This record gives sequence, C-alpha cells and structure tokens, in this order.
Amino acid sequence: MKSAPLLLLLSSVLLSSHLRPAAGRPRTFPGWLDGSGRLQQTQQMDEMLLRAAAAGDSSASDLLSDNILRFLQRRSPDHLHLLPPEEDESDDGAVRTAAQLLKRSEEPPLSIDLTFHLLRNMIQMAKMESQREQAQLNRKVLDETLLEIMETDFSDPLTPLASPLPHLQAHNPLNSGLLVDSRQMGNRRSSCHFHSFSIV
Amino acid sequence: MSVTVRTQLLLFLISLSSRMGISRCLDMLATDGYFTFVASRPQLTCAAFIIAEPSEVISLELTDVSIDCGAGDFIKMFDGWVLKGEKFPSSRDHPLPLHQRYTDYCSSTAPGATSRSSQNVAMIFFRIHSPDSGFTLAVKKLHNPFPCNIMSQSPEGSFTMVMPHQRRNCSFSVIYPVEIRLTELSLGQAKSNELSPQRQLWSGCSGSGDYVELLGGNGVDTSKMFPVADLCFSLSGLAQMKIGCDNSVVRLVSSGNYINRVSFQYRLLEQNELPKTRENNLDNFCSVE
Repeated sequence: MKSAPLLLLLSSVLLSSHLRPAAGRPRTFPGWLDGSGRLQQTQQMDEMLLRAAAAGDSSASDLLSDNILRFLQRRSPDHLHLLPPEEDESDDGAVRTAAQLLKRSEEPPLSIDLTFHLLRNMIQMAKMESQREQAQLNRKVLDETLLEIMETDFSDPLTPLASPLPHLQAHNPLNSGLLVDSRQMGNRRSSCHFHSFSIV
Repeated sequence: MSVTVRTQLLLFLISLSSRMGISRCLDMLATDGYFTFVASRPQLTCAAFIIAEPSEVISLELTDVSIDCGAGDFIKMFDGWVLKGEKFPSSRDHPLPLHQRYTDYCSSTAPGATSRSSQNVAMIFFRIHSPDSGFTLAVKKLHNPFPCNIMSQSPEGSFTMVMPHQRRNCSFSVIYPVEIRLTELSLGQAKSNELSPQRQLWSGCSGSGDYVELLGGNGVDTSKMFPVADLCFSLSGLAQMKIGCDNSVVRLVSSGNYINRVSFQYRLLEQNELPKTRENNLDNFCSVE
C-alpha cells in the first residue's frame, strides 16, 4: 500500500521530466539560428522561453526562477501581456542582480562597427556643417553692414537706380568685389545684378 | 526697427557663439557647443565621436541627464575612439590604463559627469530605453601645447610633433592612404662621444630608445599595425614614403632623455598611386576601402 503513492510520485516526476525538453534550449539549433548574430540569438532564446512560460508550462517556470522571468519580461516589452504583472518591491533587488549578471555575461565590449569610409564621410560632413554655420554667420554680418551703408547713402530708398552704385564700387573694402544678394533689396529696382557673397 | 538696433541685436546673437545642436544616435561632433539628445524610441546602440584640431583636447560635461540607470540606460565617455573593437590611442601609446579611460555616468557619484581627453579625439557611448529620456553634452576645446596622439581631420596637411623630455609614445594617425614626407627629424643628442655599436640591419631601430616609425594598417589601433619604415638618426634632408593603407601613422617613440622633434607633410594618394594588389604577395598587409 505504501508503494502506490511512491509509484505515483515517481511517475509524475518521470512525466514532468519528459516535459522539460519542450521548454528547454534545444541541443541542436534550428537552421534559422545558425549564423545569426549573438544579440539576435539571445533575443530569440528569450522569446522562446517567455512563450513556453506563458503557455503555462510549469516546468519552464521551474527552470527559470521568478526573478529571471520578470527580468526577461522587462527586456521584451512585447510579451508583457503574457505574464502576470506582479510588481513586488522585494523582488526588485533580486531582479537587478539577475539583470546585471545576464548583462555582464552577454554584453559585448562597447564598439561601433563603422567602416573607414563612413568615418571619413562623417568627419567631412561635421567639418562642412561647422563651416556652413560660420558662412551663414558671416553672410548675416555682411548683409547687415551693407544695408547700413546703403541706407545711409540714399535719401529716398524707393528711387529706382539708373546706374550702379558709385560708392560701393569706388570704396570697395574687399578686393574681390562686394556684392549683395538681390533678394535683400526688396522694393528697390536697380539695373545692376547683385549676387550673394559669402566668406567660407 | 532702426538700423543701429538691428545691428546691435545681430552682434548680440553672434556673441552667443556656442552652438546648440540636436544630436543623432550616431554623430560626429567637430565644434564646441551644447548637443542635446532625446530618445524618440528606445535607442540601444548609440555613439557620438568628437574630434578637435590636432593641438586641442576635448572637455566633455553631461548636464540635464534624465536616464534610468537601473533600467539598463548608460552614458559612458571614453578617452579616445573605439572602432571595430580597436582603440585609438592604443594601450601602448596612452598614458592611462584602459579602465581609467572610461567615465560612466551611472557609476560616478557627482551629479554631473565630466571628462577631459588626453588627445584631440573622444567619444561617448549611450543607451536609452525610454522615449523622452535624454541628456545634454557640453563640448569644449582646450589648447594642448605638446600634442601627442593625434587623429587628423583631413587627408592633407603638415604637422610637427615635439616631445620634450617625456617618456611617451606618440602617434599621428591619418585615416587615408597618404604619401608622408618627413621634412625634419631631431632625435636629441648623444650623451657622450662614444660610437654607438653597429646595429644589424634587420633589427631596425627598436633597439634604440628614440625613433620614428611609419605604420600602415586597416584599423585604428597602432599596436596592431605593420611598420613600414623606421628612422633612428636625425636627418635634415627629405625622406618620403607612400603608405597605401586605410590608416597611415607616424609614431614617435621617446625615452625621455631628449627633446625629440619630427616635422612631416602628408597628401592623399590618388587612385593610380595606390600599390597594385598582386596575387600571392606577402607585402600586402593592408588594403584601401
């Protein structure tokens, strides 16, 4: 009579041990896992474990302690709805240590896999950006200074100009020619064509 | 608005010379200023490379940080650059051990984190999980009177490296295939008039304390690059070398006994100047992308 409960216990243990491989990691990786990156692999593993645990497989929950399960839940927010949202204050510390352990074991050293070609382009773009900003600043200063000069030269700014501005041409502070963007002139109609000028 | 008021306003705006920029997940910063990064979605692998002029060092400061260190967010500042697992400057050229070159915001006890680089390049790595979290990075350039370990911003230029009585190894790295012309090399004076023993040709200059070597390779780590030439005698004439590699380096090794000085120019190699790749050739230790 005593052997019956023992037999029952033994059979239940044997049955549950047969269930384990379903939730455990497969010994031979399926084809889609081969050759993929480490990060992808870990993510897929996590998903498999979470799915197995969510399906109510008690052996999966036995395999993973509650703490690690909650950590995986946090890592994959898509699967949040699959697990009961128990937020226990006392477990947070354990979750954190579990998280740190997993992080240290699987996180590769910090590095960016940029090719030299991309790195060179990035440096050139950053330099061009700073030069462009400086050029815009210079253009603003120049335009403002020129407007100031023009407004002090003419008594009636709306009078159309018949000839090029003598002052600008004669007292040209810059050797290469001082020209103003025609759009800045607004209502002034002149017979000259002015082009924008920027210092780079 | 009158002209004078307008000019004054413009000049006031110009005086605010610091740049306010919104940083991307992967960015290159070449100017001073404040750069703000705010995550719109979880960003797990981000970095910003910072580069300055050769005779400058970079000061970084983190302000307005709103990340969750407990959730796995981090911001780490690194004294140098890490590219494909390789570090510049290498451990042999940098004065600090590797763990001291990282400044982790989450580990530092001070409310903000600051870091000053030892050369003209620095970078930050960051990971932010929750949207609307972010930080502001203040970048300032400081003058460095004796630059050691330089990453050139352009494939052409010239430079003079001076190492005054310091036992240091300094690398000038150009991430392009270039022709290097050494215009001046002064490796200090011998202590006595004794004739130095004849060095065997194959051993090169590594036996002497002070020398210049030219390196070529495919990574940024100078200790993993191949020596193309080395010089241990002062020269007043011209010496030039074409290095057809993705990274070309002039490295000055100093014992600390002398004041060493090397001046050089470099220019980009044209496509037709690159060494032709020959099959089964043992000389091909690097390539150009």
